[in-house]
Amino acid sequence: MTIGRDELLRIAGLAKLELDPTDTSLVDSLQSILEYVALLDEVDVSDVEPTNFGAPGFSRDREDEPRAGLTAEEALRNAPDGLEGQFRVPGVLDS
Amino acid sequence: MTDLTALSAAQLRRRLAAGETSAVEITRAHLDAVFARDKDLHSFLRVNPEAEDEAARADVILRTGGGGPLTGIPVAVKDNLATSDLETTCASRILRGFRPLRDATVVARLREAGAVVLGKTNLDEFSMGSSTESSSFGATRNPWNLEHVPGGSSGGSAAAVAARLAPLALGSDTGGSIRQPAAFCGVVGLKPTYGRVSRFGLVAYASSLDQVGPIARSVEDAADLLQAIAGDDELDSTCSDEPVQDYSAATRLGVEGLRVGMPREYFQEGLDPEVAAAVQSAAEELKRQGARLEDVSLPHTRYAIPTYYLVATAEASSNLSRYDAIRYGVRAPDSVRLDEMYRKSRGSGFGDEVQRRIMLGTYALSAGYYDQFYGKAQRVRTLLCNDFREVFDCGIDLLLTPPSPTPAFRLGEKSKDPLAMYLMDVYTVTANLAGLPGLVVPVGQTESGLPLAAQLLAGRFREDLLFRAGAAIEQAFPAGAPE
Repeated sequence: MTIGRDELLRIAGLAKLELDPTDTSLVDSLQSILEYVALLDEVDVSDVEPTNFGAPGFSRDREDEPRAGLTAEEALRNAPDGLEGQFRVPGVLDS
Repeated sequence: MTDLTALSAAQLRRRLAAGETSAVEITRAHLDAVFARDKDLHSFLRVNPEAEDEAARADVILRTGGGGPLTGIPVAVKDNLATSDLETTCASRILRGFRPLRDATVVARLREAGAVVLGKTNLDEFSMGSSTESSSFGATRNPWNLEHVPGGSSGGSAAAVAARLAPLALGSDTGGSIRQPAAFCGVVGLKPTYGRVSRFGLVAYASSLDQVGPIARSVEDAADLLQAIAGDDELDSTCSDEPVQDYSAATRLGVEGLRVGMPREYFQEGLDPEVAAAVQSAAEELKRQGARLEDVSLPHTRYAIPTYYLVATAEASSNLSRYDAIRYGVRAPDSVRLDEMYRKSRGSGFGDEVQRRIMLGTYALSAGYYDQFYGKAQRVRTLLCNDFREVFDCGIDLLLTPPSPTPAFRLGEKSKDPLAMYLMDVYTVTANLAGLPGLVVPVGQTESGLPLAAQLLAGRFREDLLFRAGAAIEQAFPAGAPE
């Protein structure tokens, strides 16, 4: 399996990461890691169920009761840009 | 006058109870040690400016005859655990300046117990690393030899405890991040059973693997710290309501009659001879005290690293999608469009290793590759869990293994080769994949003076067995001190 430049950019797009176009070390390291994880190809898992959680059985939900959450002021305390009690972001739509 | 930083938490507690010292004196002694000695180590990212005030409040409780085992005892906290109003960065540029609104549950429990939060310790960025070299704020060094790494990702916590800058520390362990640095720094480190300790306020890396646990200079201290933080938490739906054992009592029970398995797959090619000899010495000590040693097999061990790096990076790519530079985090300037702002902020805010793992995880989860990578890894994970279950179902109480293939390696030795770094986790990732508890205890030093250690693994919620065997090994190999 080879990761080409187009594939790398596709993944970076999904991950919302701006990559340095001159840096080849990332693609090289991903390539060697993917070659290594191909070791799993030799395991037959055709009758094996997947394990999704760290332990079975005790992921529990609490009762759905209203509780106090963060105030708008608290929620904005760590925001890089806020205005009038709201998060402010760059443009989403072309004008 | 006694150097208070040389004492264990249990020894400090006895002095406090006897009125021979105060919490303020203890905290000042450790802060002075940080200011005097941490310039070379860089184990702390910041100290808590309120530490002395917290100690003064502990003294009030102690003077009125109140308090518990940790009242007035300083604890260093890994900087991926939320501390209310005290900057919490995960050693990442993207979280610089972030001030949590609440304490993590483990930190809240420490404060309720009267412990003093001394400061926040360095880590590999977002816990992604095995050497603490991927911290965006500079590497931590090993107090036994400054040219070597302290291990990672909880390298700051382990180095701080080893260097007597704190008697106790909290770390987190996703693939060995408490146990491997404990081994490299010659201290005691425990990864609890998945679900034993609340993760509310632990910044998520890989949610099916992460656990918070103690780092200390004695098994007794580690047991006391676990006692304070373990137990159900309604703020974490994955936290178990299984009753919490008396860990301190367990440290005094001995190992007579326990069956200790040594998995042969953990003693094969690539294991450093001095590490192998150390584990063998620990085995002989357990045998001398009445345990029975047995050869056992965990046949899927060779698949643990590829399984771990697919599961962990897939979960990381999902968890780290929250860093959008809108609700929190450092936003890259001068973006006209929203999508551009996401890409620039994340591209400049995350370091190389974090970006590599997000990319790998995104790839493993993406359409067309999911079954081949992530789905496959989840199934092999089941086989790894079954290996352990079969061994414990046969009546084996504990497993004894090396914690890492080598002692602490040199700074820079592996940082340019990510795969070589990943392979260092071969003996620790299995406990995370299977949700089991694991304890690392010191077992002397190499000829060149670097710490050696052994790892004990047990069945789910059998931390008591780990503390019994850990205390037994400690009798023959008490933790040493770097010069």
